[in-house]
Amino acid sequence: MNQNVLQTRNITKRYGKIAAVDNVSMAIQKGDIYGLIGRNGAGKTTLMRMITALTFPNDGELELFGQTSEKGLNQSRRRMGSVVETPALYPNLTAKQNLEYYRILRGIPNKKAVYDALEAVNLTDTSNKKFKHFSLGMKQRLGLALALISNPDFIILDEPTNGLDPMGIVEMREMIKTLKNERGITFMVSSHILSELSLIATRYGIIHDGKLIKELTEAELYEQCQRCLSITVDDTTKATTVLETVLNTKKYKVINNNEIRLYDYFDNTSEVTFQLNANGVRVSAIGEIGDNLEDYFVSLIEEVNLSA
Amino acid sequence: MLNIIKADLYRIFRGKTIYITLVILLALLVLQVLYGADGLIFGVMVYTEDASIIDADGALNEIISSNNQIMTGNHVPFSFAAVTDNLIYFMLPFIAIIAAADFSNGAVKNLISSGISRNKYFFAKFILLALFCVILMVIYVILPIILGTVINGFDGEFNIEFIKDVAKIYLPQFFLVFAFVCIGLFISFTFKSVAALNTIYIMFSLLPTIVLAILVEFNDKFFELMNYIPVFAIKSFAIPGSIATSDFVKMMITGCVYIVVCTVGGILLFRKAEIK
Repeated sequence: MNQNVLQTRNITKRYGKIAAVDNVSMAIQKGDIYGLIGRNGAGKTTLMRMITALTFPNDGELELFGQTSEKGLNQSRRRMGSVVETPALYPNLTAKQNLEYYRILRGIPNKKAVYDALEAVNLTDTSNKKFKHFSLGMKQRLGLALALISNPDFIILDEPTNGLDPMGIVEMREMIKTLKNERGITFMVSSHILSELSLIATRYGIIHDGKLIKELTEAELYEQCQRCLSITVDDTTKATTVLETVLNTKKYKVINNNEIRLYDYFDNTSEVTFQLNANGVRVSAIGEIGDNLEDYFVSLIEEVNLSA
Repeated sequence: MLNIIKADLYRIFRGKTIYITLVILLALLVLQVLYGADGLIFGVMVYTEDASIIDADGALNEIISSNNQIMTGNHVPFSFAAVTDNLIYFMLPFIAIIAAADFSNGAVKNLISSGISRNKYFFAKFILLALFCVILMVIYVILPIILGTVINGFDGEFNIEFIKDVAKIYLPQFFLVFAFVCIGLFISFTFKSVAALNTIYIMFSLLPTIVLAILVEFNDKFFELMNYIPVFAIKSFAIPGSIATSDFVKMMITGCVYIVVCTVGGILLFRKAEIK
């Protein structure tokens, strides 16, 4: 059974007349890496700020580890780590001292927790360097170490790869994957770059103008973004036989009584049409469909803008 | 809450601010013991028993002339009491590192998002500031006595009467210094910036006295308002028995009002505030 770590019900945050987050209902299940995607100013950070109690919703309900009361939410937040906006630590303390401060603050008796957190983000070598002398990439990693120190079940990261070089992005991605796989931590990660999130996320929420316009799983996104030939035929049973026996491919999916999606023969549609016709299948339409991730995201946003 | 206090103490003692502040305070105390506190007394005006006013030519001259005496251990605390208001400036770095710095560098986000209640966070800062206020006051009272005794001898008896006399001056002064610190706490939680704290705190300590000093030039009745200004009230307590009981009560009530309003106001605002 899937267990919800986080659930929001019609959560809304308004600044004056503008709704930064508008009636967002979403759920993050245990073990998810939930990718929250949206353009700059879409409401990603505001949503995360409400979850982390940095701001309060005007309407709606927030449920964290099954708790909805103010006291219960505060208790649940102890099971959570977060880096919202930029990592903020004490600039004149070293990485180790900063983590030691938070270890004492959270009442963690195990002094090794500091070393473990630094090791998890590969910062043991620079643990005696002051935070103010850290590069942005190192700051992001130390922010993640801070989120890890209390051994949380759920971590919220707001654009963790912002400002990182390509190597830094890869490292951050690998760290998130490792933590999810080895420690079973649930993540909520925001970004405005879908292709970047697609490499780690298992579920997605697309937010635009404060509204959650689409939620989809990894498989659904893959399907949406996978290139394929959409073939409309009169008899799908006969058509699949032709695909398997004549064209020697099993890379297809029957969508309904008339449509088949073929994930093969992109460069040879005429051959597909010819063989189907030759074997008694009437092809009424054939064409390539599917977007790349960015196109899919842009088309979704355009769709919403047009319907608004 | 205890964890917040323990963590903050860990952080404070690993920073330079506390050591720089204490070194400056110590240097000032040594200089005062060596050369007298008269050079540091500025614009003192003191009430008499019947609430008539003695200006700088009156009670102040008494202090100044006494300051010209040798600073013995027995004499030092009574002489230094006239400049206890300096402590409100020495508390400023502590207010900044304890309360305002968390907002300026954004570290407060990590605390609130990890499930620490805003009430507990606020009161942890309140207790820490009270603690540092006590520490500073103890240093301010005890150290000069030791220094004065070592350099010039004690010149009298160190007995319960001496301790009572010292306590009579410094306890109300401590109360008013803490009231002023609460104003700093309120500023920190309202404006959420070290720069704003420094500016408003210093303005709040200087401006009312300056404005009233100007107003008094036009009408003596404005002296009544002095009771409500902590900086002035701290100076007023410097000479035991120099202020009327009614004025003493007014000043203490004013201190109470500052503490209650700043604490309640601060926590109410912080509970609803957005944290950037």
